[in-house]
Amino acid sequence: MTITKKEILKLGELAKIRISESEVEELQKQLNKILRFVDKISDHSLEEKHDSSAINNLHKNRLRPDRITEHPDGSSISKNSPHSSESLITVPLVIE
Amino acid sequence: MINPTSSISEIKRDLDTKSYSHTELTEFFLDRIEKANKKLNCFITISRESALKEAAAADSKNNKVSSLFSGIPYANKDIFCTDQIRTTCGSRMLENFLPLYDAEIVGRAKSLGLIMLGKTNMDEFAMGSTNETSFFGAVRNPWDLTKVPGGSSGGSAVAVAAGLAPFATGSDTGGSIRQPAALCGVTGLKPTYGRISRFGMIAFASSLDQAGFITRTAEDCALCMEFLSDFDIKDSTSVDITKGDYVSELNGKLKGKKIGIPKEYFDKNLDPEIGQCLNEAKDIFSKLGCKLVDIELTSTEMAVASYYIIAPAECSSNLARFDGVKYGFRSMNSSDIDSLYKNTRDEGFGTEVKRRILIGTYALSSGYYDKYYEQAQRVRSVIRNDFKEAFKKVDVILGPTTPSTAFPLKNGAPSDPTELYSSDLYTIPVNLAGLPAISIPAGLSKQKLPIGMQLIGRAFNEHVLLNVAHQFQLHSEWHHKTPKFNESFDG
Repeated sequence: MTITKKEILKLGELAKIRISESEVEELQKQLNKILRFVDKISDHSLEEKHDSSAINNLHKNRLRPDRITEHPDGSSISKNSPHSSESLITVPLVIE
Repeated sequence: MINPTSSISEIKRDLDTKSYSHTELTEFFLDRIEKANKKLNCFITISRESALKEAAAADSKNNKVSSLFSGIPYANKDIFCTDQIRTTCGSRMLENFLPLYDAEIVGRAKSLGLIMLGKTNMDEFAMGSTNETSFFGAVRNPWDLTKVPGGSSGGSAVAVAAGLAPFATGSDTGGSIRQPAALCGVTGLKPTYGRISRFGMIAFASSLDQAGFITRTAEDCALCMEFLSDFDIKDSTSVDITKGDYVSELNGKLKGKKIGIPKEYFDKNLDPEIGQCLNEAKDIFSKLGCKLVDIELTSTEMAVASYYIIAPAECSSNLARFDGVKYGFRSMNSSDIDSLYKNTRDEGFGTEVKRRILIGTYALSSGYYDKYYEQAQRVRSVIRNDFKEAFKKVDVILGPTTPSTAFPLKNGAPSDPTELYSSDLYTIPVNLAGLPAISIPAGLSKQKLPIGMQLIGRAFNEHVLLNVAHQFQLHSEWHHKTPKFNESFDG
């Protein structure tokens, strides 16, 4: 399995990471090395013998009652934002 | 006279007999940290002011906290949120992040009267085995300043090894407590998945992450488990199961205990010097009346490949929260929301983190999910079964923690990203199976670099692991060895 330059740019879109044209080639080399490494697991004989649900079921989340237990004030939360105005978090214009 | 490598119980005894005050003790460690950190870079933040305030409160006549841990200084890996104390996770993304709450383990320590000395350096978002991916620079191994301390909890392991803190917290996703503990000659416990609350511990790969401790001895580890592990409703993976009686069970005799020796852990991948040390360790266990049993863990090789799909896949999802909006770093060169996300994540994350997010996104994307993530989960169930079968025959599994001793520091990331993957060959299967394991010092190489032995136990059998590790430490001296570097401060 190899990954194409087009796919790398698509991954950048999906993961919201800017990838410049000059980085693509090096990234392609590195990601393909990783894919060659992890491709070891493509041993199809496993499919019938082992079920991934055994593992997926181990990690079922336990829910707690939907009750408010913490009461942080709004201003300290907005102060944590890299850009805020009074008690509001500000971002560039989203909708014209 | 304060001894920087005293055990927790020794420090407590000295505090009780008023050999020194809490303030003197705290100042002693803070001064050592400030001096040593210039060379080791193992702390990102030193919390002098809050530590001295807590120490003064502990010295005051009105001090009402009377736990065994009251007044003991310690350090937190910078992955644990600390209320209004900078928490960076080793990343530019959180360079100036001040959490609004304490992680559960931090809050628990605070309520017991422990004194936090600072936050230890780590690989960025815990992704790495050398501590070189930290935005705050590499950490140096006190046994040899040209070598890596391991990672990702490298700062915590170095802090304990250099006598800068009696113990430190860590987190372990594929070996991040045990591997640096082994390379720095200290004791590191990764408890069973779900044993210790991860509330407030910044998430990397949620089906693998577990909080734990790096200490000087198994006995100190037992104390940490006794006081800092418990069920927590705020962590949905925390398991409500009775705790072991960790301290009192340390002294159980080992006669009749069956110790499994997996042949896959002693093959060509292992440095012969480490193999030799472990043979000596096996002899000690035999003399203590243990029975050594040959076992097989046939899927060990496949574990690493499966891990390098599961961990990046889960990290690509977990790290989606860092978008430059609510907290952390924001790129200021953006005119619209989409470029704000992309520029923030490009500038805020380091090379290794970005690479893992991209490969994880690939593994989870349409058309590849079944080939990669599902298949990796199938491999994982095979690995789990391997351990299940092995534990029908034995109580504990013994092997190396790492295939080699500490390796040289490099400048910059390796061009082949898979170059270091095999350094976690023996630790990764344990995370995939969710089991507890401990790394303890078992020797020194000819180059005077520490060698670690890993003991793996059944789920929630930390008490058995600690008992076996403690009995070994009663019959060996390796955990008392300290790096020559420390002498420059001890004199």
